[in-house]
This record gives sequence, C-alpha cells and structure tokens, in this order.
Amino acid sequence: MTTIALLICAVVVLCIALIRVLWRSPLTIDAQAERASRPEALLDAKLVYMEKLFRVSSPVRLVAKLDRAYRMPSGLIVLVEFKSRWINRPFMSDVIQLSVQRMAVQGQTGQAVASYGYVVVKAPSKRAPQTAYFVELMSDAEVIALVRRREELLARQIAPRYSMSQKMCRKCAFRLQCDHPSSLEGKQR
Amino acid sequence: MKKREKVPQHDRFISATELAQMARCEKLMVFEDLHGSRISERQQQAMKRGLIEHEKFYREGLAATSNGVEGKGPRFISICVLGAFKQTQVFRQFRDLVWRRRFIWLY
Repeated sequence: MTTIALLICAVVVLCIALIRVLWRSPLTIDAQAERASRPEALLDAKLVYMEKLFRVSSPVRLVAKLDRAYRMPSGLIVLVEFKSRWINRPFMSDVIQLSVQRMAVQGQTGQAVASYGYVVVKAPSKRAPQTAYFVELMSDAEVIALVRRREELLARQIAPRYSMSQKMCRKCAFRLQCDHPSSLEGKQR
Repeated sequence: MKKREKVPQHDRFISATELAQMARCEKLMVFEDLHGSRISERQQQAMKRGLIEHEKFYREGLAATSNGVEGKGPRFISICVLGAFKQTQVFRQFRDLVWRRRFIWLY
C-alpha cells in the first residue's frame, strides 16, 4: 500500500513538473528569451530602461532613444542596442548610436554609464538566434567632434566623405547625382 | 520624400540616428539635407521587418521586468528539493549559461 502511494505521488509530481515545463505562458516565454539573449556579463544585471528617450543640452544638444539599459550590481549602467540585419556583426554606426545614448543618459540622469556596450544582432527571420557583441564606445570628446563635423558638413564648409561600401552606393537613391567614382561607372553603363 | 526642417543646426537636438548616418555615408547625409530623404520600396520593407523585430525585443524586455524582481524565474524542482540556498544559485547559473544557450530553439 505504501509503495503504491509513493508511486502515485511520484507520478503526480512528475506530471506537474512536465506540465510546468511544457506549458509556458507567452509572458514566460518572452521573459526567458530575454534572459537567454543577455550577454554573460549582464546575467546579474537588472533591466532598468527600455525604449526610453534621453536628452542632453550641454555641451551639445543630443537626443537618443535607447533599446535597453541594464544596471550592474555595482550601479553602473550598461547599454544594449538591438539591430535586425542579415550581416551578423556590429558597425561603426552602432557604436556612434550607443556613444550618443551614453552621453544623453549621463547628461540627463547623472548616472555613470559604462564606456562599453553591447550590440545584439539578429537576422530578420523568425527562429534566428540573437548574437551580442561587445563594443568600446566613443569618448564624449569624440562625439562632440562628430557633432561639430556634422555642422560643418551641413554648412558646406568642408567636403563630405563618400561611403566605403560599393554595395551601398549601388543601392543609393542619389547615385545619379553623386560624383563618387563608383556611381559615375554606373551612369556610364 | 521628406524634407528636413531648416532649423539652425546649433538650435536643434541631433539624434543618435542622424549622427550614426555619418559612419555610413557623409555625402548621403548632405544630399538628404538638400533634397530630403528618399527611401526605396526595398528599404521600406526592411524597415518594416526591423520594426517587427524591435517590437518583439521590447516585448521580451517587458516580460522580463513584469515577471518581478530580476533574476527570478521558474526554479520548481531545485527549490522543492534544496530550498532557496546557494545550490539553487548554481543550478540557475547552469540554466542561464549552458541550458538556455544550447537549447534556445526550444524557446
């Protein structure tokens, strides 16, 4: 009798465990996906900001909307930028975005933000995995220099640089107006 | 075709996206300032796909924070057997570092 009772208890516990494992609410699935997508270094961090806009007025006027910010146990904020693209790597444009976000968060909140961040890249297909890349961010001085350069470019005070990517030039909507050598070849064909 | 407002650069807030464009092509940035942005149909579709993925990324983050305090998760069997001790922490680390990464397709 005791053995049968023990067996029944074991079966009941196993059934409950199976139901618990096999059935998960969408909320739990999403929460677990977030946890699984985190870089190892952020496993003990707390997710504190999502899709939040930050502004800073001095020394330059910047506005940035960050995808995610985590607070480490030490209190340091670490930024994460999400990118949906076929090429599985971060680009300089991602580093610039994160660097501007860092200046904006620091400027608005006074909180210390890490000089590094993560770019999470995922191919735009349903079951593609997310890959997190560690990136070193630009300093505040470098961001300010970039802002100043942008102002000079738009004021036509200096000549702009061309894209390094021929593929980008081929797809550009302004290739017929551009005087870049690769776009000139396209016009001649 | 969107034309950029002619507000003096030093008066407006520059977005992270606008600055990031400089890493792609400065010439394009100048063209868009003169003529407005031109987005092809293919780029529009890519942007739509990107928005869907961003929405999913946001939902996952939201679910993680609505599950209560960070670090909590279902730890049914280990809690039942061991209670909330250091050993449970070890199991949780194994789950996060090994199990979930190997079997991400299950989620």
